[in-house]
Amino acid sequence: MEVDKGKGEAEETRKVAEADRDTVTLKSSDGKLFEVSKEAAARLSTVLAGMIAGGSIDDNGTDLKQIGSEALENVVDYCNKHANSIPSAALISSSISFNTAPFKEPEEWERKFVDRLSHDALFDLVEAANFLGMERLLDVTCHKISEMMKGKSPDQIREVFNIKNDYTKEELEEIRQELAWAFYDD
Amino acid sequence: MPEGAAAKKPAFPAGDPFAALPDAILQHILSFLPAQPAVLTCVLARRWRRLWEGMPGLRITAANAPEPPCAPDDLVSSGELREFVDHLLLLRSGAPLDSCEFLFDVREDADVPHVNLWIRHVIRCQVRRLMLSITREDDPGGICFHVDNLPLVSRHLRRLELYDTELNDSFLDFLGCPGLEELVIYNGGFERAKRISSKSVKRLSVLDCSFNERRRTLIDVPSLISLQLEDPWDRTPVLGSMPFLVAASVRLGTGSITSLDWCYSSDSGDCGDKQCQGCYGLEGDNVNDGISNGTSKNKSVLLNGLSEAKSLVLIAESRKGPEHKVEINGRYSPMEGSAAISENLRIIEVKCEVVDEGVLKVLDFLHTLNIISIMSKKKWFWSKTDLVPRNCTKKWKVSFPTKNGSLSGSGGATPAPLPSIMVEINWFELRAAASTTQPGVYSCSGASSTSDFSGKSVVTYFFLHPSGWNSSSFGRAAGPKRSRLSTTGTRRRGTSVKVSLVLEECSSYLYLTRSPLRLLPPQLLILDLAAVRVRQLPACQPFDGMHQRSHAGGVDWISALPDAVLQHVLGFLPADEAVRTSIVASRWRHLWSSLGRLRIVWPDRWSAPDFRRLVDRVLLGRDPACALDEVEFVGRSVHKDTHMGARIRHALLCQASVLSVLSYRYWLDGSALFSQHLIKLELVDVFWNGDLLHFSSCPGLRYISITKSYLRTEKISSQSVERLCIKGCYILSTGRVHISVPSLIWLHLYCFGTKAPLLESMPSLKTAFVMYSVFIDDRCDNGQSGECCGICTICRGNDSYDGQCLLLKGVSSATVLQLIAPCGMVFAHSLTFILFD
Repeated sequence: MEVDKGKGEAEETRKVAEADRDTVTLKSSDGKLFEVSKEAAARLSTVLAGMIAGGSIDDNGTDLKQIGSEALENVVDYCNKHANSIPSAALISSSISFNTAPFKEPEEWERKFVDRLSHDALFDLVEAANFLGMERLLDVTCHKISEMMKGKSPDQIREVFNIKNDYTKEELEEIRQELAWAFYDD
Repeated sequence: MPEGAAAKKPAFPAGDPFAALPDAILQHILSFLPAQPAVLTCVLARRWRRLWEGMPGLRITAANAPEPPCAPDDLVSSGELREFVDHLLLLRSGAPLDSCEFLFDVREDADVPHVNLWIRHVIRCQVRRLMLSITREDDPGGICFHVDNLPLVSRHLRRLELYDTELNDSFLDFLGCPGLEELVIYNGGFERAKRISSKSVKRLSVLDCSFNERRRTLIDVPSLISLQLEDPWDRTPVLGSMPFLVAASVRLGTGSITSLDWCYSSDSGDCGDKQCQGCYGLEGDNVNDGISNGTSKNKSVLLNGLSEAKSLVLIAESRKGPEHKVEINGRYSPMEGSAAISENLRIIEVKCEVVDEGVLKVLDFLHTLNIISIMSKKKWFWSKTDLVPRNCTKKWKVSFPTKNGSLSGSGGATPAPLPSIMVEINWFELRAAASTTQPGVYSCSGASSTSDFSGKSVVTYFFLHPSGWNSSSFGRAAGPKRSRLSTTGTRRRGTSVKVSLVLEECSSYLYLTRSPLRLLPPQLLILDLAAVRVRQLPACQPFDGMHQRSHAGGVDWISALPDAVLQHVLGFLPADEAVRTSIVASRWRHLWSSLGRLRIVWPDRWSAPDFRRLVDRVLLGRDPACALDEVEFVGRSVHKDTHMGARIRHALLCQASVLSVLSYRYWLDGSALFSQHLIKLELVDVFWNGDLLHFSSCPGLRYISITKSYLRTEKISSQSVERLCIKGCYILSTGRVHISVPSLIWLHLYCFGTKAPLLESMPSLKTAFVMYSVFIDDRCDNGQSGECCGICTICRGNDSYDGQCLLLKGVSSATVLQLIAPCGMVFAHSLTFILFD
């Protein structure tokens, strides 16, 4: 369904800029250029779709000052991989993957895609996805972060993410009592 | 109720008098009934079925209430009451509440947190009038109910009535309720409460309350217009300044000797010990410092507040004391005069049964003022003073960088909207503000149009406006909170203040973390800063302002994410883990309560009651103002949970668009689900009964997936569903199951049962995988060796295709069709019709 919608949007976009190239060039904060297919960009990112439709795409590289080259490379990589993975998600397959609008579990390639990222790159990518309005990428990356948190005690979460504990002991005790129903013998 | 009347002579022979009334009126009528009979009206007639869900008022009462206004037949045990109220709150619609009353007796200690949860929940349901009359008849600790130790936060609360309630400082801190105007406290316990503070309350009644023996409670309610203070036990409370007071009625000491304002350190009642908080605690200590109009030297308990009343009735009655006649030998002495008492005071009326030394002291003191006559049957007159404007000279623009937590101020700037700040004010950071800037008016403004996940745009613009920076003028003498303050005070010496935040001229809204995504109206609003914090967020829309994160090692990556993204992350966690993250750091404290996605998973090792409690707390404890998009219930095999139906319905009331239910292996009954928002339903390993599979009341539902489940039904129907997957399910039915889904585009059907289902017409079907496995009873006795004869009702079902066997008629329009069926079944005949039709 997402696929259908994406194709529809892409077709509309094509009509708007029939003569144009079918890729867009994006420029990272440090000036590197990346090419991504217009169709994928419009389908996956609401912000880019808006820019393409609004004609604010610069042929010499649309400036994305807030995204570093590493993160942008990952974004572009994701767009390309996503484009390639479409046939497997086609409806005529025996798998009953419900390609619905709400969240569905990351697919195998998406898992691999986020697994190979470093901590730093992952969080960069979350921000970039949030910034570009790429819902699916945001889902996948956030899901990855949640897996890093899953099954960990608050102390461990603090440790993993270097979060500073700004509670006092008394406060912690108070909150633990308030939320006693969520803590099970620990 | 009309039901009872039916047996006798009908009271309204002309017909149903309710018929002509609109639903809203009926609901209004229902809200006067106790909640239980009100809910029972759902059986009266079809129209009444759902009326109770939208009742604007709730009267939650039980047979064990001290004076039930209308005793219900059951709800005697606390378990029944708990179950009923849980159901009631989960199932009622999200309509804002006008009024809510709690009248019952709490028998078990275990129920106390439960009741507190209900109170929090109705506050979140935007209740305007709340009455608590909850007793503890059997509790050795006293009959009063202990409310929990958190401030109320609601912009809707107008009137609060507390009967027989044991109070504490946090609860009595109404700074989070900017609309609260009337407060009635009857027989309240102030043993642990040092102050009542509210900037908005206009009418206050404190009747028959018991205060602390050792120290005095401060009533700091500066907007008060009318005050009623009667029969305070133990130490009379201290009244803060009340410049608008019009009418006050104060009656002291009518009860027994124990009700006297008496110091137990001495025999005379006045110990003379300067260290005694009760007797001398008024001078310059924390309690009185809260009064911010410079009268901290005032020694008077009552007069500080009462001095501005236009009409004052002061009744002091005492059975003790020497029997003097009134003799006044005072003289005007400006030196001994009180700043609290106006020069305009001319006439005083003193009414007392017996004049004792205390009264004489009062009279003596009054005589030092320039008062012409003191006589009975006269009133205090007081000219209304103008409100002195706050000492506003400078304006400051405060910017809030995220990294170092410090604040910088620049003088004199007019607040210009900053493009991308989501403002949450953090007590910690504001303390830093206090250390770096000078007394004055602090303003901070920010406007943000950050589109978060719910698509809401939060724009913030406000002024920070504390009237002074010293630790006492905003100090809230909170019990458990104090420890926190002092700890931080040592870290940042001399700057541990809590600041009242006055919001003026809000052009739009404020983003509060205590109740995230709750939007407050542009009006004068006073907040407790412990509840809010300032943080800069990356903006989504304009390309500037996106947060630049440091890439150094050991950084706290996750805290740089905006709340909305963080909540997105937490949404993937099981609910209990998401709740537990509240102790990671203070920013995380309330994140869980506004998640858009809930995965309520039965954790390992948890018992059934523990898990049930978790589910209820998560559902009732979250902020109902925040739409719930996806809900997933993951149970554990066969544990029966009678509340499950209510929880599913509650999730739908929270506007869930995706609902998943996994591993609830017991028959779940109930009427058809009802939701405008549901898009996708997923069932795995559940036992569902018939009516739940009728989806005609879910007009937006487009995807259904049912896997490995038992379905007991005669019909699965929906007008809107486009994709249907029934996989590995066992269908129990007496006859042939009808699958009536006319909008279907995609079908996957693989099920067992007694008889193969009948697929009704699906004109838009494109793709179908149909695999009929073993249907034990699907044989035709008329055909040869069990094959279909094509004419009997068993073969045809009761479809409308007369004379033809078209079990699979529905799939005939599919362009892609896989059909697998064991031979010897009734399909052979049917298939030929499809292929050659």
